[in-house]
Amino acid sequence: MPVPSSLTVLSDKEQKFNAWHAKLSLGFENRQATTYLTDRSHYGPLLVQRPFYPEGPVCHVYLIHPPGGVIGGDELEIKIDCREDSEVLITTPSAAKFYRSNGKTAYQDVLLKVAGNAVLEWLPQETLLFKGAKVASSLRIELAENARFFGWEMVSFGRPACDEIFSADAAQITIGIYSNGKPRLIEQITVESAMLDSLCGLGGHALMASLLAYPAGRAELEKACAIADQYRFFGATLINGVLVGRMLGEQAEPVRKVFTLIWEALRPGFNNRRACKPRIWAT
Amino acid sequence: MTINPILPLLRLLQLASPSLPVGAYSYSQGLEWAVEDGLVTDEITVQRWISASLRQATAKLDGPILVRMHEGWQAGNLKSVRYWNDFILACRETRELQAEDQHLGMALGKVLEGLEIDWTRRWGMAECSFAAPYSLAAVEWRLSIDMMLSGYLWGRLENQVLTAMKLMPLGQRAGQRMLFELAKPIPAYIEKIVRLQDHEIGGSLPLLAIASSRHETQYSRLFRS
Repeated sequence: MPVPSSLTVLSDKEQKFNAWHAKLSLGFENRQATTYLTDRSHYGPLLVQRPFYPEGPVCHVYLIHPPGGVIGGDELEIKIDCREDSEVLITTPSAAKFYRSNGKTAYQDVLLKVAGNAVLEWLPQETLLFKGAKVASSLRIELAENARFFGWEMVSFGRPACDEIFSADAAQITIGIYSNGKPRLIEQITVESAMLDSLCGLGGHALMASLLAYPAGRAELEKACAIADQYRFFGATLINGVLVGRMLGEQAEPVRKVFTLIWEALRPGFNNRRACKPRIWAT
Repeated sequence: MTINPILPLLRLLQLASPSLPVGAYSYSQGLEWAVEDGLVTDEITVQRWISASLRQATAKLDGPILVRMHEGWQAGNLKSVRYWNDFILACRETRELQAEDQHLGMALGKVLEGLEIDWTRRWGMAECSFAAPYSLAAVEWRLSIDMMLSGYLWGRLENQVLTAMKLMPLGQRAGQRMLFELAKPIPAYIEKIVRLQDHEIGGSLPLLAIASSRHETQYSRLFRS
């Protein structure tokens, strides 16, 4: 091994040693009417547990985030490939945590591909951004023409229970849904202090959440509104065949309850099955 | 050849005038629900609402996309204009906001037909965002990118202030005060807009999106968005 000859090399090495570059890539296939996790590769501290089959053919998978949370400079990459006719439900056992930055940005890139006739349910716990976190998070969903998708994303800024208010440099949160390379829906929000207080931004709320369902029409929209319209800061709409529900709140738990009710109401029409809550949610 | 700047300036005034028959006055962009809900109650709160939507949405989404479309039309790169058109329409946060953008775009395309710009031949029949014909008019009428952005941002601002005056007891003089105040930071927005990178484009506003979603089913309303 050659001795490092310059400071640049040293700091480069140091950075590699300190920062996570975690990758997880999962492929699902339908074989004789049951979905199997057929491909799996991972690098670094992102893991997946052995799949569960609490409702027969649907493959339930728990993703485990790096246990110590994520800091500046870390890069997480998750790729999920649901091949034709597969039925997959993915959740996480705990919130994803992003801590105060050392000046560098932490990246999280999630790519979900859903092929024809496949169903993906993406139901993670919330993402917690701690005071001083600097994050770029991207969720990209690529859907084949007759794919089905239900998912949500909840992002919490600071821990209001501890009076710890997010005051980061910035968090860039992107969600994109694409079919045949064309965007159906793009949400991109840059959250800094001004956006948290902004009257048409977060309006002083500490949590923002989006719910997405495809395909969807008036019936799905009405079901979602019947459940959630009683909440002042909930709104749902249809864009290019996608049902988008948005909600602002203080903590993840009440919002997750509302979204779960919507999921339970939509699921039978969506994949012909009654909702089957992942066991981990009860713990 | 130097271009006399007076004619482009007159074209800009025409493009930015509320008399432009595209129907912009019939859209409130969530403001009608915000007033109904009590989120926006007076001159101060409405000014905060409008200022945030200009700075955090229009200047982060419409602005940089207008710049790219302007460059696209200038270079004859229709593919790039169409790419950004799909992008901006996918960024409209609700069905109502998307429909508004498409109505304004179609209406402006038709207006341009009568003003020596053959919009339909160049664009076809596909849905378009207001920014697509707006940027073409800017190129055809020799408006610089700064002038185009000034006209567009001013148009948004003026429309929101006029909307507020219909929804709330605000006098003419309060309206003029708001226009005067809210225009002050526009030069700074434009400086930022022209420097934005592709990956920075996008300006979703959660509360405005919720307001606009709720407006879609609001019981009694004056505005289409």
